[in-house]
Amino acid sequence: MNEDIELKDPVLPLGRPTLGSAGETGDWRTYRPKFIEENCIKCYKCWLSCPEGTIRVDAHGEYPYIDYVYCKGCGVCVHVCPGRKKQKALEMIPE
Amino acid sequence: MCSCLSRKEKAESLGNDSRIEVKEMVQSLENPQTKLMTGAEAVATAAKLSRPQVIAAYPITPQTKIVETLSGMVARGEMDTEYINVESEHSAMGAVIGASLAGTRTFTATSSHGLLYMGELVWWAGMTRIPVVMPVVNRSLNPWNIWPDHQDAMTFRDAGWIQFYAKNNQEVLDLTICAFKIAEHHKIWMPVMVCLDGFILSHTSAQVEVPSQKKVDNFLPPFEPLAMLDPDNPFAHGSLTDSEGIWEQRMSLIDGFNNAHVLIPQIFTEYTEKIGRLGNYLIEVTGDIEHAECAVIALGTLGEEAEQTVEYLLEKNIKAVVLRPRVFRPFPKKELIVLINKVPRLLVIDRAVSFGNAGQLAIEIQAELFAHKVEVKFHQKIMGLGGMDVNYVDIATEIERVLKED
Repeated sequence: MNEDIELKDPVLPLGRPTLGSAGETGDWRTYRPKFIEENCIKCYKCWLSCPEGTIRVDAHGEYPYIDYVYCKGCGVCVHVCPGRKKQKALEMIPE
Repeated sequence: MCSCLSRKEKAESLGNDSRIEVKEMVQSLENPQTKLMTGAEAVATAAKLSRPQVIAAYPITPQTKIVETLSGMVARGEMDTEYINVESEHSAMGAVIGASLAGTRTFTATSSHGLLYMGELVWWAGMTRIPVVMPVVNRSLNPWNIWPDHQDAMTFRDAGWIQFYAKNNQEVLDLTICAFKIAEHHKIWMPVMVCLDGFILSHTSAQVEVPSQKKVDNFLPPFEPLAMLDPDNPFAHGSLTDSEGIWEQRMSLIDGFNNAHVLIPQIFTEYTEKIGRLGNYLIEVTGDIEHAECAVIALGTLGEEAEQTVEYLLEKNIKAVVLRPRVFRPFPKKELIVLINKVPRLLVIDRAVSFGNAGQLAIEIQAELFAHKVEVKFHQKIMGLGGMDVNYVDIATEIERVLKED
């Protein structure tokens, strides 16, 4: 028995979360959500619903902000937007 | 307690003996006790002594009394353990993997079809290295029965699990306690399967020396996680991995088994020193190997039965020896070759078949014989499938046939 062989440490399959570990996913987009400020009622449903967390509401700005570097253009935010007087604050436009 | 006593009478008699009971309890904490118990109860007792923090298991046939006994212990408050009732074996292993990653010592048990149903997550635990201990009661696969057959555990011999095959209820208990220490060693860190033959061990009572809790605590320290899920330092375990990552991980697993091959005898030695009995060998030798005409190699209770054959054949003036690997993964290649070099012929008995080829044990030994150019007359035999009775005379008949053929 080789008692003196070097015992190696195990490698565990751990994946640490990083920003954009799959690259800049914004270039997968065919349509982009366009923000129309005058129709926004600041309900933040778009911020709540974005599956990728690319809609931000910063501490100062009251209006939501879309991070186009990672937004894949799925359109969920446009679907949930109630808008003002049936005019949505978000619409999908071709890239 | 006689069953004809009324409940009141029972309570009264217990009340009178309460002082003796407390005395016995104190004694059981300090001293080892010899008890009559089945293999399933021996596993449960070993698990109790090892203080697992989470147990998840599914209690339907072919599951055995292991989880029934443990759930009783947890329900009576004898164990400080979270017992998760799940809806299938697949979920049982899933729950155990999650619990292990949350930083707890984990345990589950299964058998036969339960193991196959668990299959996907058995591989998951093996490949991503979850240090869970799982006794597998070896029972026949479809068309199924409750009798011993190694086909179920052999199906998972390549799944990255350390595999032990026990020969009696005592070894079942000892190996189960050792299994926790081996699985959780930071240079090994992989799951361990303690295989015990269905019915012959799992449902048959025999004397078992139960070590005291104090001694087991001295041998087995609390669980120390190598990586633990933590909301402040998040990670994903075993998620989508690229080819390089998989390659690195698999190579590490091969190293892990090499480490285990070195460390298992050391841990067995430590167990023997601190608790007793076990011995540090990977292969048990019974008989006079220097003068043996034939060596029998078999796993589990077949190996124990062959020990009787050795005595039986001595009366007929035939010298035989039994080599019983009790560790099958990592495969004790070097130790086996040293032993095989001393005998002129081999008879390998398998209780499972790799259909389309031969018995798994025979295949692996043949590979080693070729690799080391060992000159030995090789014979193989498949016996005892589906719990077919194999007694010491059957094995003796095989040895006599082998001797006649050569």
